[in-house]
Formats: sequence, C-alpha cells, structure tokens
Amino acid sequence: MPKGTYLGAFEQHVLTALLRLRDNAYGVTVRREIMELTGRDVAVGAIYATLDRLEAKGYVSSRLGEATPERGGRAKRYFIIEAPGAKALEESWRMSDRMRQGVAPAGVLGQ
Amino acid sequence: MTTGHGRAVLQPLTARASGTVSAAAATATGKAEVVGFAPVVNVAVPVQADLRVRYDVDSSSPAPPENVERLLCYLLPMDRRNEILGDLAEDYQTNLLPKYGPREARRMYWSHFIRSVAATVPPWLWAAILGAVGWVWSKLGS
Repeated sequence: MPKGTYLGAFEQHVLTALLRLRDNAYGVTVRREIMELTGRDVAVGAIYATLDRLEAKGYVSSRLGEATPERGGRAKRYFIIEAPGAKALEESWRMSDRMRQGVAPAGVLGQ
Repeated sequence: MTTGHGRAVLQPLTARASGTVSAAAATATGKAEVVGFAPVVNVAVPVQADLRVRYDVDSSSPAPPENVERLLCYLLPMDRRNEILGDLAEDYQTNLLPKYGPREARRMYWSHFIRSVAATVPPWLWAAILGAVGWVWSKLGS
C-alpha cells in the first residue's frame, strides 16, 4: 500500500457504512450505521470531517439531495464510495488480516 | 423565498415577527403572507443555501434549541454547515424527541451539537482559541 493511502480505523468504519447503505448514505444514516455496528457514539461533525478528507483523496463523492421538513428545509448530502476508496478499503482489510494471522488476543488474556 | 420543497416545523425569520405563514398561501402567491397564528408545523420553509431559519424555543415545541444553533453554527465549516445542521435537526426530530421527550432530547441535542462543532474545528483554531483563553487568564491573574 503506497504511503498516504492508509486508512485509519474510523475512516474504514465510514467507508464500510457507505458500502452498506449504498444510495442512502448521508450524515444521519452513516452515523446510525456506525453506532449500531460498533457501539460508538460519534458526532455527525466527526463523520463530515472524515468524509471531507476522503472526498479530497477521491475515495468518495457526494451530491446534494432533497430537503425534508424534519431537517428544517435543509438538503441532505449523499455520499457514495468511489473505486479508489473501495480499493483502499479492501487493501486495509487485507492488511488487517495479514497482521492478525497467527496471533490471538486470547493468549494474552489467559484464555 | 418560496422555492421550498414542502412543509417544515421551522419558519423563516421574516415571517416570525408578525405571525406565521400559510404554506398554501406562500407557495401560491410567491411571497410570504401573514394569515394569522397557525401551528408552526404548517409553515413552508424555503430551501436556500444559507437561509437562516428560526426555531420555536417554547418548551413544548418539537424544534431544536434555537439559541444554541445561532451561537455555534458559525464555527461549523461554511460549506458543510447546512448539511450538519440538517442532520442534527433530523436526528432531533426523528430519533431523540420520540425516544427521550423534549427535555432530555434538547440536552442530547446540545451535547451532539457541541461535539460536532468540536470535531469540525481545525486543530490550529483550537490552539488559537486555547492560547487566547490562556493569555486572558494569565492577564487576569497578574
């Protein structure tokens, strides 16, 4: 993996949420997905900060969506994962798999 | 001001002073028209990039706390401000309020809002803010 394409844990969570949500990935749904899957309570601002960084790298793209009454007339911004993002995510997963081959936390935990 | 996509729980600042706006009247005539005091939920909200909307701060209102938003929204990055505020409002309306009730929902909205602002403020700005606070503190102490 070239330097600069490494994804942090939270970036991986966000990209995975985009993959799972497909066409319905915007701030609220991404946050909900991450909270349900990881148990982490994340601020929507943190998600946007990460998505902006990923968009600058060309890993995701966004488009403005519709405004709804419960949003106070403000439009949603939908995000989708792009091919370089999918590739970086897959490589990160592979790297994690390689790292954990042959080791298990259970040994340290005395189980 | 009437290019909105539907009804909302919020109302434009312009209509606030003298009453509320009928959604039907506003969309039909192309301009805001005060027709009396109607529930806030019947107000059409224009969809505009930087439209300032005003929330009803009455404790029984389902709207998020207005003063919090007004105070802190300028710290959010301008190009993402509308989306973040929209997400916060949607979370408040569809998740927090039905689940926790107005009082607790408002507290959680506060918390979520502040964390969102904190997450989007760049580190150099935090450093500047903390430096300024430290400087003032040292001057007050001496």
